[in-house]
Amino acid sequence: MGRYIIYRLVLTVFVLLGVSLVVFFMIRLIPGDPADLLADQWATEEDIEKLRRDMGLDKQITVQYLLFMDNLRRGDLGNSVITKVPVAEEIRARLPNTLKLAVIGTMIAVVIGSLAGTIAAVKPYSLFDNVSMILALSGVSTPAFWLGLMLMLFFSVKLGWFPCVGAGTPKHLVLPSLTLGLLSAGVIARQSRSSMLQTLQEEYIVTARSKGLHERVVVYRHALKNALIPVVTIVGLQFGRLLGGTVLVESVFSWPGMGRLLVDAIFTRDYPIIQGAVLVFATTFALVNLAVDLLYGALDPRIRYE
Amino acid sequence: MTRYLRLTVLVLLLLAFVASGCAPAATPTPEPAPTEAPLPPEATPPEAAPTPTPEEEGPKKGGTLVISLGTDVPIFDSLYASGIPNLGIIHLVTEGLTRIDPQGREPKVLPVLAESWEQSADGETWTLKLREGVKFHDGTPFNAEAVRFNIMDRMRNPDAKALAASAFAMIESVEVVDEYTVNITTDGPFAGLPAQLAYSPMGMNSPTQVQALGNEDYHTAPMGTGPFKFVHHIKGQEVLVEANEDYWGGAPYLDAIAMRPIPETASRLMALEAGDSHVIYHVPPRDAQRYIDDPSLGITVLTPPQQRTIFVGMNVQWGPFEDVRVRQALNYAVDKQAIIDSILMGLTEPMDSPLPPSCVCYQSTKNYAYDPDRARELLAEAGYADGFKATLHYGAGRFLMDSEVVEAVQSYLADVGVDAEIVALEWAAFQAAWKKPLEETEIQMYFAGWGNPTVDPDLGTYTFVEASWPPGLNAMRYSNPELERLIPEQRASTDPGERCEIVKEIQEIIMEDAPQIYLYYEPQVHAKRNEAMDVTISVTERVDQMHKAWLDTP
Repeated sequence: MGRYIIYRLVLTVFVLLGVSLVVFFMIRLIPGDPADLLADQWATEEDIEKLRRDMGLDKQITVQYLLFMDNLRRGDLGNSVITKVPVAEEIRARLPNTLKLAVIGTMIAVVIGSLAGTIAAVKPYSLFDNVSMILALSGVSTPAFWLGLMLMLFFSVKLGWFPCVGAGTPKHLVLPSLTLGLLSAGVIARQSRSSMLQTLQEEYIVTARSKGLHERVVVYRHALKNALIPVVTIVGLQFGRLLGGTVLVESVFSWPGMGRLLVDAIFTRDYPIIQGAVLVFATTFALVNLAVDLLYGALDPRIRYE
Repeated sequence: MTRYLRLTVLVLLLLAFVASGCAPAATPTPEPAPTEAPLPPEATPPEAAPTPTPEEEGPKKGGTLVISLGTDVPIFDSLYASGIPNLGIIHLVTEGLTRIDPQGREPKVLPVLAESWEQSADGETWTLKLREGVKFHDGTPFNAEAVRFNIMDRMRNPDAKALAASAFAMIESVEVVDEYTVNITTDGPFAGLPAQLAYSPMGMNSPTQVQALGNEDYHTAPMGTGPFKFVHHIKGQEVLVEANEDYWGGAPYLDAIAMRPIPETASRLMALEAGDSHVIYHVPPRDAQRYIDDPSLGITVLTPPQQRTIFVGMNVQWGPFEDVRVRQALNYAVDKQAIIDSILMGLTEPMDSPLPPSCVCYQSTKNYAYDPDRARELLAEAGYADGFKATLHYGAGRFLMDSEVVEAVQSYLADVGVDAEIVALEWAAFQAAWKKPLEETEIQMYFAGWGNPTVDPDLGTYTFVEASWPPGLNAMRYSNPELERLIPEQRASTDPGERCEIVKEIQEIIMEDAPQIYLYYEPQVHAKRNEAMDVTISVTERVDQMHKAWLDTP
C-alpha cells in the first residue's frame, strides 16, 4: 500500500511537470503581451521594451522556461508581473477561500445527491424518483453562471436573507457553495440511484430481508455503504469539474478565490500567476484523486493496490 | 400515468427555463430599432441631485460608504497601480498636486496640494506654490522637498520602475526654491504641465515612510495627505480606508470608505439594488434607464462628463481608405444619433471633434450628420460605386455596448455598399493585432476608444502624428504635414489663448481629413443609492472630494 502511494506521488510529479510545460508555452504563444496591456497612453515603445525586460520576457522562450524550473526547484513561483507581489503570496491569500468553497460545495453535493439518489432507488418510479431525476438532469445541464445569478436574485435581492457578493462571514458562504453543490449534486444523485438499485438486488440483501430485518435497516445499514462505493469515484472525478466551476461561481459572487485570480491573470496575461495557479489546481486535483482512490480501496476490501 | 407525469414535469421545467430567460435580465441585449425615448440630459445631472433633500440641516456624521468597482486595486501605490477608477481609491489616501474639475468646467485644473502655478517666460519652467501646514498621515510635514522626492526620486527614477514614468518624461528636474515653492523644469516648453500633474499615477507619499519600507513594500502601509487613511487591502475582497480627522480640507463626514470589487456586471447591479454597495461603477445604459424610470428603487444615476472618444479608425494606407472622399463618405453613412438614442439611451452626443467636450481648447468643429445619399455620391466619385469589402476588428467587452454598436455600424455601412466583416477579439489579442507593423497588419478598420484623463489637448492630438504609428496608438497610420508642425507648436505655446487658436486649426484639419469614422463620446454611467449624499465621480472617472460625502441613514 505504501509503495502504491509513493508510486502515485511520483506519477503526480511527472503530471505536474507536463502541465507546467504545456501551460508555460501555451500562454506565451497566444497573442497578447502583458507589457503592452499594462502600459498607458504615454508609454513609448522603448518604455514597453524596458517593461518587458523587467518582466523577464525579452529572453528566449526556452531560456525563460529553464529559469522558471530552476526557481520552482527552490520553491519560488516568481512574482506577478502586474503587482510585483510574489505569486506564492497571492495564491496563499486566496487558496483557502477556494478550498472552503470546494469542500463545502462537495459536501452539499454529496449529501443532497446521495440522499436523493438513495430515496429514489428505494421508491423507484415514484413521484419523488421522477421529480428528483429530472432535477438531477437539470443540475447537470444548468450553467453555473445562471444558477448563481438566479440564487442571488431570489435570496439576496428579493428576500435579503444573504449578502449578494463577497466573503468574510459564514452567511457569505451559503449562496456560492450552494451553487457549486447543486451543480454537482445531479450527477451524484443519478449515480447513487443506479448504484443503489443494483445493490438492492444483490443476494445478501435478499438474505437480510428474509431474516426479517426492518427495510430501513436493510437499506441504510447494509446496502448504503456498498452502494456508495462507486459514488466515491464519481466525487473524485466531479471534483475536477467543481474546481472549474469555482472560476465561474467566484466571478459571479465576487468570491476572493483562486478561480478569480486565474481569470484576472489571464486577461492581463500575468504569466507567473497563471502558471502558479494552474499548477496549484493541477496538484489539488491530483491529490484529491489519490485520496479518493485510497478511500475507494479502504471501503471496498475487494480492491487491492500493488 | 407515471410516464405522462414525467413528461409533464419535464415540459413545465423547460417552460420555466425559457420564461426566466425572458425576464428583465440585468445584462441587456438591445435591438437597433430606436424604440426608446432618449434620456433628457437635465434629468440626470452628474452630481447627487435629484435625490430627496433631507428635512433637517446639514450632513450627518458617521457610517461606512461602500463603493464597488469592476476591478480590484492591483496594488495600493499609485506608482505601480493601473486603472483610473482604482487610482481614484488610492487618491483617497495619497493626493496629487492638482486635480481636474469634476464637471470639466473652467478653469480645468484645480489646486490640491499645489495652490497656484505660473509658467516662466521661456516656457521651460513651471513655478508651483504649495499648500502650507499640511502633514502626511505619519506626521511628516508636506513641503517642497517631499514634492521633489516624489517626482524625481520616485516617479522619474528608473530604478523605481514606475509604471507611468513616461507620462512624466517631460520633467527634467525639480528645484526646491524654499519650503513651499518648487520650480519644475521641462524638456522644452510644455503648456499642459499642471494638467499632467493631475494624472492619477502622480501622488504625494511621505518620504519618511517610503524610505522606511522601500518602494516594493510601501503599498502595505502608505502614508499620504488625503482625507482618508489606509487601513487594509484584502486582495480581491476589500480596500478599507478610515477618516483622517486632521485633513486640511476639513474632516470627512464618513467614518470610513470600503471598496469591494465586483467584476461581474449583473452581480454589481444586484449588490447596489440589495443595498450591499452604495455606489457602483459602470452601469449598462438599459439598467440606468430602469433606475431613472423607477424612483422607488431609490437609485440615482450619475453621468459625469465624457473624456473618451469612440470611433472606427481606418487604415489610410490600405486600398479605398487612401482616398479622403471614401473616409468622409463612411462618416456620412453612419447615423450616430440613432446609435446614441437606441443603444446608449441618449446619454451622449456624436463626436464633432477629435477632442472630447471636457478638453481644454475643445471646439465643436464638424458634424458629419447622417446622409447616406451623400455617402454614396462620394463613394461613386472616388470610384467605389459598387462598394468594397473590409474587415472591422475590435476588442470585445472593453467599451460600453461595443458589440452592439459595431453591429449597428456594420449595417449602416452595408446600406451604402461597404461590406464590413466584423472580427471580434479578446482585448489582449486585439492590442497585439493593431501593433503589428505595416507589412503584417490585417487591420483595415478597427473600433476603439481613446481616453483623455488630463483633459488636455496634448494627449488628444499627439495620437494623430507619425511618431504615434504602431506600435503606438495611431493604428490608422495617418499623418498630415500641417499637423506635424502644429501639434508640437501647441505644446510649446506659453499663451493659453494662442494655444487654443492652434488647437482649433488642428481640430479642423483632423475632422476634414477624416481618418476615423467619428462616432460619439463614451458616456460615463455610474449609479448610487439615494442615501449616499454628495458623492461625486469626476470627468476623469475618479471619485472626487469624498471628504464631503455622507450617508443619510437614520
